Amino acid sequence: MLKSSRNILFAITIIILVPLFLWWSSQSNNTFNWSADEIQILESLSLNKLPPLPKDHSNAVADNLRAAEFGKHLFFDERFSYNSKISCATCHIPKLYFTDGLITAVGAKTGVRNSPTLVGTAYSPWQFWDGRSDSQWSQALAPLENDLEHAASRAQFSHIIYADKNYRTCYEELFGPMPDITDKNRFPTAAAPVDDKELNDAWQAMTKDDQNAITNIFVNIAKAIAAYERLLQPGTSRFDNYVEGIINNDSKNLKLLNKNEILGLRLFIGKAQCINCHNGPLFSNNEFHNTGILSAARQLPSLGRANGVRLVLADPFNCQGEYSAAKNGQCDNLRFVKLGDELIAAHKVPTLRNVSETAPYMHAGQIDTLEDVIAHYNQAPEAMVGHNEIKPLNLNYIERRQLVAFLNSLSAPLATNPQWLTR
Amino acid sequence: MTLLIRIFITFMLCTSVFAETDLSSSKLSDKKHFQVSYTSKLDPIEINNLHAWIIYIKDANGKAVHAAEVTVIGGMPEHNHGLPTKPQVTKNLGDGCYLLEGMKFHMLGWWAVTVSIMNENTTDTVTFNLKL
Repeated sequence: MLKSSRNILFAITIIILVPLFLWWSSQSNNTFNWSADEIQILESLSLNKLPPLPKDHSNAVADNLRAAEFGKHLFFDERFSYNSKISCATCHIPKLYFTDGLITAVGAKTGVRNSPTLVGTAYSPWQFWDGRSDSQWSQALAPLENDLEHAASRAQFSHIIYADKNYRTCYEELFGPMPDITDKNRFPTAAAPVDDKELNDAWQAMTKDDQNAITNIFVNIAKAIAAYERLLQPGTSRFDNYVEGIINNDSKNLKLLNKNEILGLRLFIGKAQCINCHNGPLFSNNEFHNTGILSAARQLPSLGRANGVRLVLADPFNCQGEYSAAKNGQCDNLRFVKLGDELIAAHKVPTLRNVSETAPYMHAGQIDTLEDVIAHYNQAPEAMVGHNEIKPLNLNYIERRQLVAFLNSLSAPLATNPQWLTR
Repeated sequence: MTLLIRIFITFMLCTSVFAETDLSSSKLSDKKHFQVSYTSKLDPIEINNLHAWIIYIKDANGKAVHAAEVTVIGGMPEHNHGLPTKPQVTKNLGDGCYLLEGMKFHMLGWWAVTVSIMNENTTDTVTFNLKL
């Protein structure tokens, strides 16, 4: 009887102590001896290494705070849609780091792409998952007239600005006097060069000069929105402070990552090879890679960048187009853009900052969780189209969990003043 | 026997890697027609940064090649993909110097940049290795 009690006591002790030990060992900070090369890589990922915002030569008001204020109002204004219920913030919700938490965006209809974050996109030479825009303002134009998104028209937007006293004052302060668009015969209330027959017929009935006047207003609206979006920047995360701790040998900061997170970081820059594409302070090279992601259900595989590059070159709103403020020699990303089969099904590398807050993942929201994302890269399946650049990683279950743990350390409130994050 | 084969393979791999990691920025072209050098206007070269190079070309006699057609491609042999951009020689700077714009590397690691030169009826190539 006594022996039996002892056995039970022993078993209970083991049951309590083993999980406690496992918890302690995962939480306790293990002082790692990072090599000089590794420290250099860690520093390259730190927000401290984020350079100043690159100039947007194509947008004369890109760094104008008044334009940003105007753009903020436009960003949250639902009137800029076919039913006055959809704004930019419908799919780019500030508290979700300017994503929407949905598999694919839902505007006028359900779209085909996952809403990417807007945070830090001012650093990217290319916008959209396929990079079919080369500036934030040229990106902002597309959803406004897309029949799956705002499903409205540039003529409608122009009339809203013209009729709204505050908007018109802001607009004219930034861009000069608006043309008189009160004659509805010349300037219909809804018109745009889009697939919708009614809108397109109305557009084609306008003179070229009147079309150009409306398109100029449309472009200026997007340039103000872009000025606002430039302010959306990531904040300092536990990871950044941990790197600071390594550099300054600051024991307080060194405790900010637990052992599993540190092991995950080591995998991130080593065996798991994440850093190949997720490099730099935004954890993205802002380029395009085919990583063998399955197409979304009931959809053909996306051609990705192979199509995006064709579109950006033909885009009248690109850096070299007539609506751009850029001068010769200021559109080098477009000038030296790459084409070719290598880009088939390649999609833009997303930032990993705040990644655990921005599920689901991939260009069509095909993957629900970070665990599944890492499982995908671990397996590296054949691409449906094109060539999958990644190879199997051979990460075991614990290593995959450690990677996820590390990715969780990249979340932080935005560096942007909260005044910009609400309507 | 198996051990001997393994040692042989290891030796071959090592010598191959060693040959591939010649990081010189001045080289004789493959068919020895040209001495080719480059300098980067971005020094040190950083990833994700569009920048320009100057390519210097001399012939086998050490004379500057003034009117060559120069094209450049590049990529990462270990990842089987190319440069993220399409760099182009945009200006002949004279004295055998050519301005190469649109260079960009988007990943850390081993890059191979191949310069093809056509001068009069002579063509040749040279490949530079970079470790970023």
